[in-house]
Amino acid sequence: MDRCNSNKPVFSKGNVDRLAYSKLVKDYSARIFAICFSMLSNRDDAEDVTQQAFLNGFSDIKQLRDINKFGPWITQIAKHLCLDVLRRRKLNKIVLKRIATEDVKDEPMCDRDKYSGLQSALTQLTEEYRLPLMLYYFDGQSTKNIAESLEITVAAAQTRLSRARRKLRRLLSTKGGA
Amino acid sequence: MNINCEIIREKLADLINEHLGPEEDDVLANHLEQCPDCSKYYHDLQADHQVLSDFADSMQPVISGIETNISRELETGKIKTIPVQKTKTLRLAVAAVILIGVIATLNQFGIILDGTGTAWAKVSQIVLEAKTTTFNVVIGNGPAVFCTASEKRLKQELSSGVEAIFDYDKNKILILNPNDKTAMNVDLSGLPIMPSNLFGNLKSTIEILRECPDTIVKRLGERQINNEQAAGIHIYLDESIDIKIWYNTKDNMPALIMAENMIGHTGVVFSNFNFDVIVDESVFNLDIPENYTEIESAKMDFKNLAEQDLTEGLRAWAGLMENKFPEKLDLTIIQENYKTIEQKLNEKGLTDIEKALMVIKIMRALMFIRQIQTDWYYHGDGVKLNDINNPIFWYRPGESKTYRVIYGDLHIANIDPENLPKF
Repeated sequence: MDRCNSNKPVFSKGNVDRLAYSKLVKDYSARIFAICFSMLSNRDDAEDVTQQAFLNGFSDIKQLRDINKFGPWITQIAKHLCLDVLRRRKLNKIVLKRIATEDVKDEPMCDRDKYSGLQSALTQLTEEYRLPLMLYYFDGQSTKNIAESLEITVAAAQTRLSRARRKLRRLLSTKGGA
Repeated sequence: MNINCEIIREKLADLINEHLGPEEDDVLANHLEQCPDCSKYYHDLQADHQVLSDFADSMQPVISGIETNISRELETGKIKTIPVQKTKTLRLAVAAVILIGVIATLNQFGIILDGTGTAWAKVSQIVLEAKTTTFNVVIGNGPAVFCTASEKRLKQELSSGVEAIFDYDKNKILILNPNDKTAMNVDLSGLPIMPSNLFGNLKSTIEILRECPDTIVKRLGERQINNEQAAGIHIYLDESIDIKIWYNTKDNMPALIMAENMIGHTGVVFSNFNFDVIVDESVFNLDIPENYTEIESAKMDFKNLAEQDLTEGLRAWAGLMENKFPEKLDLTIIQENYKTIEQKLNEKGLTDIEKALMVIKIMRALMFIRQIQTDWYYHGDGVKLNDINNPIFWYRPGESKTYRVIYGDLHIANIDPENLPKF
């Protein structure tokens, strides 16, 4: 079964079931993080927004009448939060600058240095190509699921993934590799 | 690199997704053996794949951390438990035109573009930073509507006196008609996409134009607007993201903003701006005033969609559009035909509630399409209602081996895959 097709009930005995919601968070956290990362191009902000989206989702869950629609619903909440962040802080520009200049503070060297070239190249892809890649790698989604998430055909999802790879390769090769 | 290599490289990118058949694999393998450049290219693609996988893996602790944090917050009860009410019978009485307007403004701006600021930064900054704004808006050839907008709410006041209050957090609209003291409630929470604030859409457009390096800015000269000297600039990316701003030359305050094709193919004109005015939040109050009566209701939800919703929606569309079926079946059909739908609804002489129900039928049909998980095909463009011979739509329900084929007269037949219509 697709791990994102959770049918666990969220409502029970007049209250939102916290355990069931935790399960939904587990099922969808990678997807929402991938989407936020794709939109915000920054790990910390994606982390913050993902968390906020799920918290907002919990508060508003009573508005969701069909739990099978949790995926698109929480995705929209996250996207709106991302747009708010971008609008408020003009994050895109700041992110690009930050990737180039920011000192890494007390953080294991896992990510920023090692993957800064890759992140920089990813930010140069348009959302159209970046998001399928993020969903493929972060959420382990199949092209079929990516197609469903993006509401495009499976063939179109494959094409976008392939083109994204080619564009990324071009960007990385002009920068001398990831 | 020759053309063959170019094709091979397309296939190699596909190969990383593992979507090729054994025969194609052999062709690629043969080519890679003979072509060192493509061989290196494939090697690089694989390396990229590995780096992306490693990068994603490195983020797993972040994702786990999010899950842990939320679980902790849920366990410690920091988040208030929300008592779940039994599903209320939604009492919806909808002014159809306002409803179409809402659907038409569903956020289309999914793409965020990088880029730099431009010469029009000062003018656009004023719009972007405004927390509250009052302005007049004209959609297409429609009437001028006075609007008061905050971040999450919008109030429209039509010249007829009718007021519509939009709460984008609650996904609700309250429509008040002071002429007969009636009130209508609209609840849009079932929609899969949240409608966005009209002024918010303008902000998004400006934001995209500011961020995108491909944005073109042209001067339009100067003219008088409201007895003040105004200069014009034309800023555009493509035909869907295209605005003209006329601003006061003394203080850069926008005087007139024309957004082309903002709602489907319809332009929107904003004027008479007042930015950061003090707005009493009570103007956005969704409670029905005491001396008003809530009138006719119509349920609007998007649950339990069925094949019949599709045929009914197609029938409703054809009924409006001279018996022709729509050229395509997605939400943009409403956005692109905004003006025509509004006009046809008026021509039919329907009551408000009948107009609303017509629009809801069409929307439910489009929502049904969105939830089909298998392959479907639409070929209704150019076909007329009651054309018994022409199939217009087919899809395979769930695990079914046969297809459901809908014909122009909206009868439905089960057809084996090998007998499907071919176009």
